[in-house]
Amino acid sequence: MTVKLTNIIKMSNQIADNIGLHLDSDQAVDKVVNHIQLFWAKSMKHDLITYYQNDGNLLNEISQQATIRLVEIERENAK
Amino acid sequence: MVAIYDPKTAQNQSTKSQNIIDLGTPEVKTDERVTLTIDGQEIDVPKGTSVLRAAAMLNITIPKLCASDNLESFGSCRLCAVEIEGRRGMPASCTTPAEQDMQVCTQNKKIARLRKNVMELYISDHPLDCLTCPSNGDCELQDMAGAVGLREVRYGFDGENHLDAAKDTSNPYFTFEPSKCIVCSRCVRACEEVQGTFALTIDGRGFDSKVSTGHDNDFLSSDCVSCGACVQACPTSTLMEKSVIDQGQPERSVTTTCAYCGVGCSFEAHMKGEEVIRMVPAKDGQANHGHSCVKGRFAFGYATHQDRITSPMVRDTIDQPWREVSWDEAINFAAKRLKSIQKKYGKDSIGGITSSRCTNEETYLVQKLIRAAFGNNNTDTCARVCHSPTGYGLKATLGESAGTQTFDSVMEADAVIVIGANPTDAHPVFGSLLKKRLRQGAHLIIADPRKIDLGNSPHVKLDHHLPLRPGTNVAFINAMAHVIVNEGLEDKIFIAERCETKAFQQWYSFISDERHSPENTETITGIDAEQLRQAARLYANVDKGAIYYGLGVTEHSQGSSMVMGIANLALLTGNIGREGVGVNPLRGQNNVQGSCDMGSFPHELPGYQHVSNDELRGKFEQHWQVEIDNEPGLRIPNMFDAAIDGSFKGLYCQGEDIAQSDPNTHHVEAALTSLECLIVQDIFLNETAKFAHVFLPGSSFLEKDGTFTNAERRINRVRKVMRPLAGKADWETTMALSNALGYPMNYQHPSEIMDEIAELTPTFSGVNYQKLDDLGSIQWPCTERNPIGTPTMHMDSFPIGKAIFALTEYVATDERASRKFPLLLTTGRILSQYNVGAQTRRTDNQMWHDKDWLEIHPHDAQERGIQDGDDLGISSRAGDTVLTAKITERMQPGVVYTTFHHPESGANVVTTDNSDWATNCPEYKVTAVQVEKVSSPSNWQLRNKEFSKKQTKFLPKNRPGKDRVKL
Ligand code: SF4
Ligand code: SF4
Ligand code: SF4
Ligand code: FES
Repeated sequence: MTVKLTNIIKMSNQIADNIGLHLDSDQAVDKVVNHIQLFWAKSMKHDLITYYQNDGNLLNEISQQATIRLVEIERENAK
Repeated sequence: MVAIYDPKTAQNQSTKSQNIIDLGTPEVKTDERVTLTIDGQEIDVPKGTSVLRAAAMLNITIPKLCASDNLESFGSCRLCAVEIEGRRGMPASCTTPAEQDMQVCTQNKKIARLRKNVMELYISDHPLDCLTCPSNGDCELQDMAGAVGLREVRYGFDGENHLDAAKDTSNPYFTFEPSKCIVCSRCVRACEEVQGTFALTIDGRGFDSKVSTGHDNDFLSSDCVSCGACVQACPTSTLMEKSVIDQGQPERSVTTTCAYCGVGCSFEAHMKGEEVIRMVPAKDGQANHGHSCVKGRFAFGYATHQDRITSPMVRDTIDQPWREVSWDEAINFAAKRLKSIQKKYGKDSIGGITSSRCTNEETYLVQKLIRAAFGNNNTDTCARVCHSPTGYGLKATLGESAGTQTFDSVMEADAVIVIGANPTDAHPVFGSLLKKRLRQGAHLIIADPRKIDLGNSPHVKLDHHLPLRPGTNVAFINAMAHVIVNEGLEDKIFIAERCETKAFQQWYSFISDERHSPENTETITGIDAEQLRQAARLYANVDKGAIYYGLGVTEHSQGSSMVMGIANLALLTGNIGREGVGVNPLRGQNNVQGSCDMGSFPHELPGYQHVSNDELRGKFEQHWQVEIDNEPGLRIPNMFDAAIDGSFKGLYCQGEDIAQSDPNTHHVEAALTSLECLIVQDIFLNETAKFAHVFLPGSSFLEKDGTFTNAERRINRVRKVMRPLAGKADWETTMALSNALGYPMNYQHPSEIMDEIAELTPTFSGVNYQKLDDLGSIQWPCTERNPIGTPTMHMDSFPIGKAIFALTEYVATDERASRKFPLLLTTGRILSQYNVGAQTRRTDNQMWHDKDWLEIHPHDAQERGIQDGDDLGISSRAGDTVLTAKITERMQPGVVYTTFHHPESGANVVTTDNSDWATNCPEYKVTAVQVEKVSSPSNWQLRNKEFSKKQTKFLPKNRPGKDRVKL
């Protein structure tokens, strides 16, 4: 796995750990998605999505759900 | 009218300040007033004002020697004698408070005789070498002799005197020549009252009394921190800048701003032609009020150091020698490369880094170049690695990415909490002000893994030192809030009126949980629960509590959470929106605040306007006549990852040394060597430039116009005092690059750039150069509603309406001590060096700190058989390096500490690429390490030495710059 991908996974899990705890999972996913949308570059979101679609095992629960949501948003935007 | 300086009315900042008169004694602040008559003129002054000051306000000059309006009066010289109706004798006007209906006479024969006698005594024990004295023409003793009309010295010069006293030249920047001392004690009082160091005393009595730096000490070996306050206070040439002794009195003065730390001190650059003779802190400087530290006042010689590179250079690969070329050739070379990279790898394959050391205008231009000419948002700034969590955390809670107060506000605080900051070293002038307030009795709480100097400053009482373990900040701040909630000490009215209810309720139930109690977090933080409870009560119970914090808060995996935790605590206690309270980030570099304000971050346009907001972005698109990407770009660490991955190939780096300052050097070096075009713009061949293909010579702060914004949001003018050594100021270079890339930029002067900033950035809408000249400085927001700026933020409401309590769960960092790496390394800085040291290492400040040390607790040292001065190998999972041991009880067991001012130390070879969850700000403050005795440098150090040697050889032999800089 590349350093870049390792870091992407780590960052996404870290975000989920820090803003997701103690919220119900819907709220947590919202917040994580929002954070990634506001602060991540396109290519990083892509890397996250690609990783999730190919494997995704190292992502924690909230990160996985957030990634699914990101895919949906991308699809919406593409329309 | 009386010529008292009032920034609101003063006209020309650059010439006026020399005319500010010394009113003799400090201002008294009270609403009670008294009216008195001096030489027949009536004046109304605050009660407690000295007669000397009242007279000066009437433009009546009473001779004086021991008094100065930045020092408490002392009454030793008797020169300021006056007669007061109904009183016997001739009291000293500097120690006599004005009273209602007092009748004062400042000049008559009797008074004149007394003054002449006083002067005669002084002069009889003073060398009469005025013509060859370095103070000639700038000496208060000379002036006073003239003023009282001294014509003869009856006592002769043969009696007992001090004329043979030995000179102390130990300090690199000033001399002490006691034969010229009149023992007025201004220096002693300046050191105590202004600087707060208490390095000087008057030894002996009567005729034998003399100024002393303590038993068996000279200036260099004493407690003196070389701030220069005593030199400035001395009315004679006893304490004198060596530069004036060597070069003579300066002939003109230009007001400008220090380019070192985030205090942003104003200075008078005293010039002779294009040469700076000395820097004198400006008395009307609104951040520093005439004080400075050793860096700003003395360490400016780097600007004309022979290492300056003053000619553009290019090369095809980093294994080749540099070729000196014309500006045009260098700019075209760079533009061509960038364009071909984009053609080959895509638009997003290049980016740039703005500098917190450059001006607002220059920073603005670089991000504009990236967004408009590069066509992407891959812009970031060195603030990424220091205060990006401040931007995120304060915006999320208070609605604005900035500190809430002025520095002066601390003079009203009843209790001060300092967290992860070392103000006496890193923000010295603010440190002095803080110490002043603490000597007046304000309470002090320090949360820091190390014992910092502030805590044992003379006459300062440290109420609580909370020695937390590195990496546990959030557990600590939550515990503080828990105690306040748990004991019902919160400010219920403030919360109800000013804070968002739902967020508060959610937070309240979160923080009330027992897991946050000090008793339960004690095992995490290492802080004694009872100490913490007392500290929390102290902060909550005073009327005005202020929090000051530094990089010990931000540079953590939970940096952003900690900033929000601090904001929560201030909101909870109603400590926002008044004088004397607040959340105060102490910014590292001179223009960290400014570089963030100017849109350096990849997700935000100037003024923190998000790129994804169509309306805000549209405004810029229209003005810039270009389409701007609506998604954030890469941050610095993301750029490095992408470079190693092969998708990021070109970087324009202005005034930042990422190779030395960023963590995990191996990783950074791998990234830099993957680039096909690295353009470095700097004044020296810094560590990053050794990996560069294009070198564009930068200009120092003395060579350009612009503005810096300090930690209190104060926009200060930087003024050009000499021509750029390389022919271009940095903003001109960025412009040339943009033009070569096909995006036209055509500013004639930085003021035009500021006008554009004001047009596009709501919080800057009222800022322009004319107003800055008129007012001296402006604290943003400066808008139609606040035309002269906003000293205290959030007085009536927050930019987001109501403030938001943020949930800040403690999440332990991955970086934990283990059997392999049992110690925690944390990093910081010291007074005499600045950041990566590129500037200060090229000055005599080297005398105080010529290498980085590894500080270690005696217990940890003993366990490893380490002695003071041993070479220590220090290793982490990222890398290893070798530093010299300094055993000190300042550290707690289990924690070691170093600075990163010297490139050969390789402190960042050891730090990891862990980072803050929200902003990617590196976790410099926590690295698990092992330390052991070694006998040779590390592999990295050996390799780096070789590499540096090779790269230095690649510099052209007879650089024209080498001669040109010797002005
Ligand atoms: S330079 Fe500053 S610290 Fe040193 S003796 Fe003078 S006032 Fe005190
Ligand atoms: S050194 Fe200067 S300031 Fe200090 S006592 Fe002597 S004359 Fe006064
Ligand atoms: S380094 Fe900071 S405190 Fe020192 S003179 Fe410069 S701005 Fe002031
Ligand atoms: S100035 Fe008043 S006693 Fe010296």
